[in-house]
Amino acid sequence: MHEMPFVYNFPFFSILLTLVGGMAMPFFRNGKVAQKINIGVIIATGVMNFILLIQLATTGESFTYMMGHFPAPWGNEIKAGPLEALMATMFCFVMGFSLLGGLINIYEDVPKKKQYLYFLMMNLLLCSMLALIYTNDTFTGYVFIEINTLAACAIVMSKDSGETIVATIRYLIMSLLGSGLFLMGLAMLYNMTGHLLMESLQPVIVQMADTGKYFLPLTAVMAITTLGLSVKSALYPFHSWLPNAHGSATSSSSAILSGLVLKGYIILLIKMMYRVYTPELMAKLHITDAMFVLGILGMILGSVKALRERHIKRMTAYSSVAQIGYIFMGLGLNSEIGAMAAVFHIMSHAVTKPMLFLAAGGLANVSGHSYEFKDLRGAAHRNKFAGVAFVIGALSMIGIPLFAGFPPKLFFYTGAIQSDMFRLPVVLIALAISTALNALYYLPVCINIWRTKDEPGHHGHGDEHDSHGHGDEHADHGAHGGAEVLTSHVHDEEEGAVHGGAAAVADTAAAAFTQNKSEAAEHGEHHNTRTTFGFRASMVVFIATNFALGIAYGPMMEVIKKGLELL
Amino acid sequence: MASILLLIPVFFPIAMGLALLGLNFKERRARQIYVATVVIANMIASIVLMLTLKGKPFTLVRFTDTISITLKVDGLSMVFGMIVSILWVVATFYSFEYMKHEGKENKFFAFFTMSFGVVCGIAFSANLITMYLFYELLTVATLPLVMHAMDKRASSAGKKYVAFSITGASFGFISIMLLMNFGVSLDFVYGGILTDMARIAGHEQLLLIGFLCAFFGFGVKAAIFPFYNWLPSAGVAPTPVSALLHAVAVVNAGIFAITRVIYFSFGADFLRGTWAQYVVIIAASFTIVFGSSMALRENHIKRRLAYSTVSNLSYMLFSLCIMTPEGMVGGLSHMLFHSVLKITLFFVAGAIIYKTGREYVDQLEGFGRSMPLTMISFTICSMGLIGIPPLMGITSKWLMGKAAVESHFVPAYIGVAALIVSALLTTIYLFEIIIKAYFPGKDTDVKELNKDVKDPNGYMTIPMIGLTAFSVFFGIWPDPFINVFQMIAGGLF
Repeated sequence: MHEMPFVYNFPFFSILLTLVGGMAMPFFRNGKVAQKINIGVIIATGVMNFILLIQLATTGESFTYMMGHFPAPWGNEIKAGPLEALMATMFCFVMGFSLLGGLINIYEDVPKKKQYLYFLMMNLLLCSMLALIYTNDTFTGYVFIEINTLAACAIVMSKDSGETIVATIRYLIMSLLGSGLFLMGLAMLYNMTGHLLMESLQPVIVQMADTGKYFLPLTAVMAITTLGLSVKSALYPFHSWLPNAHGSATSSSSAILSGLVLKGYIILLIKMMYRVYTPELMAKLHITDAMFVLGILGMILGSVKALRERHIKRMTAYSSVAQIGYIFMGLGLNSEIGAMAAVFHIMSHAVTKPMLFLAAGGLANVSGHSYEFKDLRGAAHRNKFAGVAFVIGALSMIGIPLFAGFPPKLFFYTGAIQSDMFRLPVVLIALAISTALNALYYLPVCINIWRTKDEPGHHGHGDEHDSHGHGDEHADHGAHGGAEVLTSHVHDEEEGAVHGGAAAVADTAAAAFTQNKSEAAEHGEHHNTRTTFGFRASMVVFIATNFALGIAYGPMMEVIKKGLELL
Repeated sequence: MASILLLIPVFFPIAMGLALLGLNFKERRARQIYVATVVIANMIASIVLMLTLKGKPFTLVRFTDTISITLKVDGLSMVFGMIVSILWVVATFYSFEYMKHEGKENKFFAFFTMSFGVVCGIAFSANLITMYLFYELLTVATLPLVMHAMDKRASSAGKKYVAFSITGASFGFISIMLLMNFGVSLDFVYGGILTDMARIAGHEQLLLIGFLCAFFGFGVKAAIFPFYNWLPSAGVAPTPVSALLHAVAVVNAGIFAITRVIYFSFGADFLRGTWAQYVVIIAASFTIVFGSSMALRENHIKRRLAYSTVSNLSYMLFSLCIMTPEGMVGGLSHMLFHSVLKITLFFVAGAIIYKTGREYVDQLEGFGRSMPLTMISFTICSMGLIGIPPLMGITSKWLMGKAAVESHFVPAYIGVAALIVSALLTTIYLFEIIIKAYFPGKDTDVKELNKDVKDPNGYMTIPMIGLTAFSVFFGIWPDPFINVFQMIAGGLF
């Protein structure tokens, strides 16, 4: 520890910086200032994590970092390797550009007085995701899961319409169910082993598995912690909350929730899998089998659901369910290559899905803020960047070579061929069908948004959509009351159980969001036909990243491989 | 690095097509000049490059040691590339006139031009991954053409097209992945890449299943039974699309891919005599008869021709599946001859629809007199397709039958029977049209009925007559083509 390189402080610094940045925002109470702080923090953490990534990828090392000086078994540790650094870097990158691309919508959708709180929540969200990535301690993991949940709910609700409030409540209930399961699992685990640090847990668990002691409780613990994290990452059939939450939130929120927040939990799951339970034990106890089956179901049924949607953001959200299915299927392959593919898919989905959501938002901005297909006809002609980005995103989702969606597919197939005779045919057929389904719902939308004016049935971005806005307001009032009651209950519980400080911050913010009734959302009132520089820049960056991942996947795969070994 | 020029025939039309979307010409004349220049330039470029750069690869992107996006010209590429390049130009001129009545010409020609590049990409791909890339892109690039009318029928046909094609390609991808794991590389090598016996030992059955995935997967574009249904539905597309894409480019891409899979990836030696060969030969034989019977039942001209395509594509598949060099020669020659004949037949159907709006076989009575040039092309090409000597078509059928008999492979005899039955059915469904056209019923007042019917202008008649003349000339003297095909099938070219 004495000769520790300075960069090894960066994970801790970045978590701290995001927290401090968030705490600074209430002093200004100004959305623009908060946004600048937020962007600054994201850039700073991104750079720090990138430097760390370079360092760790070149040396091929991982390290543990003790926060405070609590000795084991209670310690509060950070563990970082190439995989963690890679994920953290990518999260900062994607979050930064998701915010940049959706800024115009944030300022339109979020009431003016609460805008700084939105950015505060973003900071908290980044903080908790970084903590989930870097933590070496299961309980710290749990604490940040809760912070993550609250921040995520807040950014869904920030749009302040009846739809989002209802979506948030559903999201909150499912999320709390998930984290509750995880907490239960941890409690049992602590009872059996007396440890909470990942490093100390593993030998004890392996030994217990060998001796057969506590066999049933151990299986139960593994099952419910995995289940808890699966619920939170919207694995089929626990996805029911996702389309509403992701479909109704403001574009940046949808982008970040789909692209990153879901992945934070999966990364924690991967860490639990590799560092606590060991993949062998997971396979022996058939937990990976369950993940595999549900993953396959998600791949197919998520897409089938998407096929029936007529709302572009809900469709994209259902597509996320399918993509999460891919990731779980990969983890369930019981092989290194499957896990590598899953991790790569986390990345490729994280750069593709936010692009799709932002593009959908951009298209809706020029179509009277409507997300219905019929209103989006020809929208791409009005917002070319969004149109191009959507098509690129769609091609990537189908998994055409040169796009980011192709390498994971390649590795999923390879992993399947090298796996057992039960998985092989199932994966091959499921992948083929799922590819076709992706094409089947994305391509018609691409054609729809690029329809030209002289085609029949074309809707201009006329004023007929204004009526929607008024209809929604009635729904708002009805839903608000319920939301307040429920959220305050939830927060009471939280304060008793968890980290007081963080929950309190989240509490005030969430309450503040819900209180806002007087300022009716202005959406539907004026139609934006301009696109901001930020939006165009973020589309260009996302497209470029997509190609970069699709083409230069070799080195990335090396880092992931090394990272998984060092986990 | 002269081989970098191979990028031209692939990316020049794609870029120009995209540019056309942006340019959005207001004047038809200007657009026509633009498109004609691009297409002709690209034809010349691709032909010159095919002749000069043969065997020189160009790697655009290298993912790993075995996986790359590489373009290369070999003998088979040349066959497909030549067919496509020349017919593309012909079809473009035909479209100039035809598309006047369909509208949205700018978009149409943009995607029409882009598809040219994509098809060249398929022709010039040097390995399976590259081929898969362009194969998927072909579906994407041609989808707007199928859905051109954008009404309910076009949109459902488009969805069907995507569902069939992409599912097919992804099943094809399964076999690519198997080949990647068990083969020595993914490059196309005549004789196959499954040469490392130690590697494939114990996995033969898996590979054969993989081959079936490839055959039926890529066979979707070649309309193999039971995945033929998209082709008749795609007839809602404008006729130049039906003619060029659904009789030549797209469906031949399927045939081309299967040729690559059989002769250049799995290797004919690996597949010959296995149960998988039984399956594919029987599937192809069945489709031959099935397509012809369906064509007979169909009263809509374009759909009748589409079913005829289904049947004829399976002629080629059957011949390729004999898995001997002779079989390959038969398949390739039928690919060439069928392309020329069928595109002309579709041009005729298009001319009839364009001039009269009539789409059904019954409505053609007396057309022999009203549209003489059109109906002569139709008659000659029909006779070629049926296989009446000395016109084009008999040669390829003869080669196929000969290859089948010489292979001494039992199911191949079934195929020969199918060929004969199908020839009979083809005669009936094509001659029905010819007889109606030249010998109208006594009660019908042809003069009144066909008052305003006349031949279309030169944009449409010249391609039809030209191709018909071509078919007659090379029907009588097919030797240059057959020699080239024999060299390719011998692995010499």
